[in-house]
Amino acid sequence: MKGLMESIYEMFIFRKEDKFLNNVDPRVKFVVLLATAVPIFLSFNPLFYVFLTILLVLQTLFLANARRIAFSLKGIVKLLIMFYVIIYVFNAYPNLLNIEIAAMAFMSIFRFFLLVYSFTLFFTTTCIDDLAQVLYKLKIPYHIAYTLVLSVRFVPTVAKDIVQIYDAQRSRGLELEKGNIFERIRKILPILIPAFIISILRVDFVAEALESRAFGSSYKRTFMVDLRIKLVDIIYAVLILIYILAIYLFLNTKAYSFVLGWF
Amino acid sequence: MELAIEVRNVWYTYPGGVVALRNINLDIYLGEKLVILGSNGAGKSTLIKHFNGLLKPQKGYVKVFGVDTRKASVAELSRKVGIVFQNPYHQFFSERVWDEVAFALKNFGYSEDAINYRVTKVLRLFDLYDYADRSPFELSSGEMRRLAIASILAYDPDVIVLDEPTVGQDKIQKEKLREYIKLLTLQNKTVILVTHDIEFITEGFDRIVVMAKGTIVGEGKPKEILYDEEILVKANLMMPQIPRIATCSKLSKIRDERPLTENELLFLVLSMLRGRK
Amino acid sequence: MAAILVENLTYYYPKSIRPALKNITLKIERGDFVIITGPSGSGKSTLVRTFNGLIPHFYEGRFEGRVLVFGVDTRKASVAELSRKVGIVFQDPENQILTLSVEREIAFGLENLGLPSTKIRERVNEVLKELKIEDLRYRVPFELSIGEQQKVIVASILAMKPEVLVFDEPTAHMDPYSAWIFSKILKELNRRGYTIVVVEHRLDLLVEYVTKIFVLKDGKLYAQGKPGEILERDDIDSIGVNVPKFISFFKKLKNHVRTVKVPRSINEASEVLRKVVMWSSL
Repeated sequence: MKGLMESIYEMFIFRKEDKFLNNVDPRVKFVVLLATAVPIFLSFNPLFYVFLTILLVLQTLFLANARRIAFSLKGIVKLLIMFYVIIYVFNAYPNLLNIEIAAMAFMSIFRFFLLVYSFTLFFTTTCIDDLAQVLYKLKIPYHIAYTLVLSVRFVPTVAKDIVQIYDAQRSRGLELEKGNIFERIRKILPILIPAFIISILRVDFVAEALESRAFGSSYKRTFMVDLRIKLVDIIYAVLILIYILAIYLFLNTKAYSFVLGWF
Repeated sequence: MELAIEVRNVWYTYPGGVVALRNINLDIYLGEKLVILGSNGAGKSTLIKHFNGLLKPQKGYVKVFGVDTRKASVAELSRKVGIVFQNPYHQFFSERVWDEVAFALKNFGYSEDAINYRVTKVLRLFDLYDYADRSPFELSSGEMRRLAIASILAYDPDVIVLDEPTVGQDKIQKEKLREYIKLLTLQNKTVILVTHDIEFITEGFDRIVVMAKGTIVGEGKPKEILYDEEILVKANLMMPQIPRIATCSKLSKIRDERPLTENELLFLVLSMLRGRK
Repeated sequence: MAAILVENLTYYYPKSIRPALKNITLKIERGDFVIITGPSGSGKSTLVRTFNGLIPHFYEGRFEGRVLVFGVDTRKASVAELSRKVGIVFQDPENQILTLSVEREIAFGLENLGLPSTKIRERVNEVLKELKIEDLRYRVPFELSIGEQQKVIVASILAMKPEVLVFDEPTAHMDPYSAWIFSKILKELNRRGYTIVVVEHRLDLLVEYVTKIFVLKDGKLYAQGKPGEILERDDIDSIGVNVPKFISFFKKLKNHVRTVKVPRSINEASEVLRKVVMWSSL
């Protein structure tokens, strides 16, 4: 659980890296994300998934920080393995050795994995601040776009609070491991309530800080790094789109059966 | 003297890779008034979390009244060692002050009668009895701190650890805090104060343990430690004001005395002046 | 023109029967280095929030009297406008960090004000250099130490180029060494021309640098004056002001040795004591 949280945190947190994808405009990356994600839903062809995986891995290795992406995916992968086992057992029962179901379950999980992978690629290479800027440029009011930033910004803070609350309550004899299911749910209260209260109290302080930095004062908010779509970004997007289209056509026309005929 | 807590060759590294404790050896005796002194990041909080099992040492061991902390649960150890954490908001969740104090007692399985008796007793002791039915969140910050200490004292642990209780407190609140600490020692509790407030610890404590970067860099009586510039510098701390002026003015050297409080220094200076006459 | 002029200020928080501030009148001049002190609950934090308009605009409530910031009535200017004159650094760094990287944090206020991108980048570079935190530029603020965080927050306020800097108990969560370093930073900022207002309990580190002390008690201005005058008063300890030990020691000594001069800094205190020691060993 903790590993998953850390993986997710690493996915969203800002790190200054000199990798190609980090400098591509978020709008372009988003289009690429859609172009990658939507076909995942539409296609059931395992070969297509293979080609998509190749696309994602190539981008990871050459255009982004592979280590960070691997770390972010690590947490999810463990969860997915668990899901796989659950789906398999659930569907194969009582017949526990069923190749067909094993393959089917694997396909479902793999689709989900590809989806998560493409999103991870997007988020690890995109600063949330930039995302907020992009939303603002798309005419969403900044104070709404900014809530994205605030949410990510305060996740580690709230996590730290919860750890400290948990320590304090354990020191007063709270034992979450004991008791039946109802008792255990009740025991969450001494942790949830302080967490909520601290967060609510925090709102005023953060609001003060925001006001004191002139938040919401100007109709036209500017940005230190003004995002602009560059020619390279477009070239990148076009290449990806061509690749995806090519696979799609290849797999769906006679060309495929022709190639298969060679084997 | 009976040994309350025994720390032997303890090492602890946080999951992120930060080595918080390096080979800590420490004996804490029953009835002591001990200070664990160090600046932020020295490892003080990490160390005290080993006293009730919140953290278990990766190397070495910690024994609380003879019990190895790796073999006991946090709940069991907390009955002997109570920790009052810095921020009361990390623990308050009840509707009434009374329930807040009763919480630990309920967790430890005390009877209804015992709970009534103990909660009443401790609320009266801390002048909070009139607030018993009020919400803990209605209290002032000083009262909240009092309530936090009261709710730990209620179940009578032999050792009470106070984690940075002076942060953000004004002079009057700090004086009250001193009174509560005295109150605790009158109840025969072993008191461990974790702090970086060098001025606060100039009186009322038997022993100071100085930590820096995960190790203990010095240990001794207040008069020794608070005049030891070398140890204090190692710990990124400064000499309290009275020892500082006594040292810089050479007074402590000439008279071979180590005043810690204003009154001690005053007595010393006046006796010097009278001696002249 | 005074930097901050408070005239007969009385303020009630919304739904409050008792006023948080009672009929306060005070003046802070340009270039002053001022401490506002007093026991908890005396209204110090409330008072400084009137300097940048948080009171009355953000907190509402009943506001009587007036506060002029460089001649501008705070009731008639917005918090955003006032934030270009008066910057406030609050107590807990955790609640003041609003973005995910140090350079964005510093740029944040300027972006809100709508400054052009080039100007923003310029100022960010300037301020990073001014506070010597260039190495922190790309770091995540959450992962910094408290001292570093406070420096980043000061930087983000400085970027908006206010003339007055207000600090609300800035060293509350700091250890003594970090607090000492911070007091040096404040002294340097004052030397560079900023008007500095600090709300504090811990006076020992700052008292030698400040030009004026304001003491609040129960929402009223109990006393104001030079630090020497105020801290030497006999009544000042009992109302809850944390008179530095090196000063209160000499006050006590003065009762016995009339000729002793109460020192203003800890170094001066050591000097005076040394003289006393030498004199007594003649």
